[in-house]
Amino acid sequence: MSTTQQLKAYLDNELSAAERAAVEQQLTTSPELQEELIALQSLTAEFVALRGTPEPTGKDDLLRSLRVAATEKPKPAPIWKPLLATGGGVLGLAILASMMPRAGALAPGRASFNTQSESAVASSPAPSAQPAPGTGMDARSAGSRARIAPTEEAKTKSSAEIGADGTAIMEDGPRTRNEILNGVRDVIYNGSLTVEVADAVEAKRQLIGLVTSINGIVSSSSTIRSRTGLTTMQYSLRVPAAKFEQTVQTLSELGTVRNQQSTAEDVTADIAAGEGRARALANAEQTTIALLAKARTTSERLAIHRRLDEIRAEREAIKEQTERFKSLSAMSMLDVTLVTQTEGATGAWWNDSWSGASNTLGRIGEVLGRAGIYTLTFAPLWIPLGLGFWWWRRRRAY
Amino acid sequence: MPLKAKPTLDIEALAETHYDAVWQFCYRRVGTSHAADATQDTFLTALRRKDTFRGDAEPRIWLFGIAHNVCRNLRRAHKPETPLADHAEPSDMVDTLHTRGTLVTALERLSPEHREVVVLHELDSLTYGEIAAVLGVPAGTVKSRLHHAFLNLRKILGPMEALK
Repeated sequence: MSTTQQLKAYLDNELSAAERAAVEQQLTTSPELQEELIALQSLTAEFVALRGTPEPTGKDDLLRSLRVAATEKPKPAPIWKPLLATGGGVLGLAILASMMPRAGALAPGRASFNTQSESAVASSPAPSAQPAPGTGMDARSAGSRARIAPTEEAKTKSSAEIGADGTAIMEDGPRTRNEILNGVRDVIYNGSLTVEVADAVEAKRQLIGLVTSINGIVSSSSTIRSRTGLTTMQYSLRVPAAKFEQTVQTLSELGTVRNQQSTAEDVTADIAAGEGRARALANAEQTTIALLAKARTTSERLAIHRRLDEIRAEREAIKEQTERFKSLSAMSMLDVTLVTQTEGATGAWWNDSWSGASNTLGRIGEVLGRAGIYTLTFAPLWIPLGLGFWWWRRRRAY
Repeated sequence: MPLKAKPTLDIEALAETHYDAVWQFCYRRVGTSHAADATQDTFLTALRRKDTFRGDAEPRIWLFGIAHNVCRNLRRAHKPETPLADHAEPSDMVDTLHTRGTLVTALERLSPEHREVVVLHELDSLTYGEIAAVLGVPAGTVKSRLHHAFLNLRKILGPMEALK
């Protein structure tokens, strides 16, 4: 501390003898310090004017109160208050912690490609080992594609990954459809989405606008109005594969998502096999044509023509199948169902309310249960903290 | 090392002796209207907590420590007054550079920590060690706060004086 900083303590006689001597030494040689000291003295003296107080009152009342209080049994300090406060704080933190999204959860923007439940499983059968008659390829149906079990809650963590054998494998992991698309693989993506919307006309307008803007098409549509007032609009969309994820995301924002499924099928191997088979058939066709020129008898020519027709038919079938796979992998299929409750509907509104309330109650129970476990688990930590806090407050206050 | 015997306190006797000092202490912080209540709360609290008195400081300083907290709580619960200004005595300003009001205004503009040490030292006339015991801070902190408080007071009072 500098001499200037010591001046106030010097004035108040709060310095040790050595410090005092040092300050006095400085004062003899420094006119600035002397001026500083005089200013401090003058300001300190002014506080004398503020020292006066009125005549104290209430002494007799206090003495009477003290005599009464002395006869009463002193109450123990309310130890439960700080414990309750600390426990409450820990409980609050535990509730917050249990409501936080878990580590590893995907970002919302990527959820559109995911299924809706932690229990989502893949049931993707292996591609058919037997080629279709006449084509040498697997003529797949929709049922042969990877499927994900429908779910109850939109909190999904699964995503599709394409295995080396061309089978879509569903497993927990961060891979997205775009990542798969960035490779050289041909993948067919299909999906279905059910959204509950408030305004059916507006939702329809947005859906059509979206599909048009991404150069997709509405391949079919239907509208059903039930007697209970429920309106269901179904659309089958073909959208560019690169826009599939964006489309699902945008449509999900039209209202409340009730169901969402995505399937993926890798047809890279099928296309490659088809193209290879087509090349082989082209070679066989050329060889057969060469043989035709060397045929000597009519029966030989007829037999070679029959073989040539078979080869050409098989080649056309393979070409058609390959083109179909390419087309499907370029344009994804998305079935969208928009559900709305029209005004004045007499549907079972109480059913929704009841299930909503039950779900909320269940959720609250789950959160409280988790919080209780957290609180109990951390009891060795927060109980000593609470006791320490109580002891500290007791010392600090009195 | 022999254990230090814990002192016993007679709160009623303390009230007889120190009531005025505690009342004045409270008056400077909460004003006339709450001074008696704050003093009563201080002594009743002292009665309940007399077992916590360790004898590290004088009973008067221990009482000031309690009063300090009681007044702080009271000021939080009620609109603060400017108690130092409600007992004007014209004779007090005769030989001073600044008026009482100017000084009180300057005090109010200090930070709470600085104002508290100034009041404890200049008005309650406590030593640095006693202030440290009341506030529960080291004596060096009191010394530093007082130095900076006076620096700030001079900065505040300079322009105010020039305006007069």
